Formats: sequence, C-alpha cells, structure tokens
Amino acid sequence: MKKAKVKINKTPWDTYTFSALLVLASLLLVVLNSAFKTSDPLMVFVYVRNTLIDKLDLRVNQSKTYLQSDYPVFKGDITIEILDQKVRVEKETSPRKYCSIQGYVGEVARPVICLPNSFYIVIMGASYA
Amino acid sequence: MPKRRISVRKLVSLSVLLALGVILNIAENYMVFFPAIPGMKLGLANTIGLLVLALFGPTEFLLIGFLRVLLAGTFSGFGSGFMMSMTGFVFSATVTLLLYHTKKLSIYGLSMVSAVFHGVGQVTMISLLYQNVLMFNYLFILMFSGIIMGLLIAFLTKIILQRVRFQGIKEVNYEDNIEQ
Repeated sequence: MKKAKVKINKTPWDTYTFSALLVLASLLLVVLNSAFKTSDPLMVFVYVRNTLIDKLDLRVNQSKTYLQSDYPVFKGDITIEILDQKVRVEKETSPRKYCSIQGYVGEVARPVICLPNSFYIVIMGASYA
Repeated sequence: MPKRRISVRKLVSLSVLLALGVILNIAENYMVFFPAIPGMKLGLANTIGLLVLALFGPTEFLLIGFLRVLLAGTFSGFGSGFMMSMTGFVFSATVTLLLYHTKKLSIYGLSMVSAVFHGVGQVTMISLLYQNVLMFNYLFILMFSGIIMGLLIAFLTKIILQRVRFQGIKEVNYEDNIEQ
C-alpha cells in the first residue's frame, strides 16, 4: 500500500471540507441564537467555577466588586460594570488580562471568562438557572 | 530487534523546529489579535506542526506537537491555559492524523481541520472546567476563525516548503500534487 504523504496543492476534498465546516459553524450559530432567545428581562449571572454567586439587573447601570478575601480562588479583586445594557469586567488580576480587554458584551449567553480566576459572567433571561 | 537510528541532522532539525514552535507558542499568548474574542489566535505554532508532518511524518508530528505544548507549559505555567492547549492539541492531532491517512486532503484541508478541532478541544476543556455548556457558545466563533486561520497557515507552510531548502532531510513526506 502506498504511504500517505502531505499534498501541498489543493484537492477537491479541501473544498468539500471547507464547505462542510462552514455549514456546520453557521448551523451552530443559528441553533445557539434561537436556543437562548428570551423575552424575560435580562440579568447578568456571576459565577465562580460552577457556583452562581450573584445576579444583577442589566437595565440598571452599576459597578460591583467581588473581593479576593471572599473568594480565595481569585488572583485579586474583580470589578464588573454594567452600562447601557452591556456588561464588562472592569478590573481583574491575571497575566494577560484577556477578560478585561474584551470590553463590553451585550449578547445573551456569551460568557466573559476570567480563566485564572475561575470567574465568569453571562447575560441570560431572568428565569435562567 | 534492530534499533531505529536517528541521524544527528534529523535530531538537530527537529530540535530547531521544536524551539521555534515553543517560541511562537509563547509569543502568541501575549498577542491579542481580536480583543473581543479571547482565544482567537493566528496559530503560527501550527506552521511548525504542519512543517514537521510534511518533512518528517506523523510520528515526528505527534512527538514535536506534544513536546511543544509541554515545554510552552513549563514557561507559562501548568494551569487551565495549559490544560486547554493540551486538549486542543489532542483533538486536532487525532483528527488531522486520521484524515492524513485517508490521503484525500491537502495541506489546506488538514490545516483547516486542525485549527477547527483545536478550538473544539479548548471549548470542551473549558466546559468541563466550569461544568457549563454555555461555553460552547464560543465554538462557532472559533470554528469560523479556525477555517480562516487554518487556510492562512497552510498557505504560509506551503510557501516555506517551496522556498526554504531543508538540508539533511533525505526523504521528505510531501508531494507536489497536481492542483484540481
């Protein structure tokens, strides 16, 4: 049997794979968008690992700090800010600051994850969880 | 049982590629291409993986890929980021090698699939860490970016293979097939 080698020029199977992946990603987008559609008032759910620690109304502009002394798993205090029906992680302690540079998020069911702090926030309908 | 000998030239070539992979891996961790989408990377370190597969073969591809993730972990720490990288590598390497053995896909298809499944692995690990399926909401973003970045990385790898003379490699593992 002929040994498999890497082909360096395009084959028809690349086009099929490209199309299949594109269709799959688009389907996923449509399914997820419809699955999390809600008519409930929107809330920000605040989690540490898989434990819900707080629920904040997205309609109220506010800022809230979660202290490291209360959650030893944090690398430092974490502040979140809600402004104009969007939420962001304003301050956090992590090597690359991925979650604070992400900025404001207004989409439902799109989590903002602060990885080394085991912390995440997500906008969902009030009846969620 | 006869011992499998590895030439010094091959050992040096693999070591240089591994070192380059680790450097690119670490450097990319500090670059943010799209702040709104954390985890979205160009995947320059994947170029090294594809080069190793095209120059040496699947065994070296697995070995160098595994060592790259492990060594990058020793510099960046063995936290959740390392676990995501390792899961991403396991998923992408498994699917890439399965498809490589079908002999159907070119470097473009392999690179695309590798990038997409790296994302699938990462999202799976983070969902397990946080025990929440909501993390899969990132999957379609990582799939779209994986398709685009995978194609770019394949194009870059092809240019490197065509332009750079790799000395000391007796028999390469790629073929210049007719484009269809």
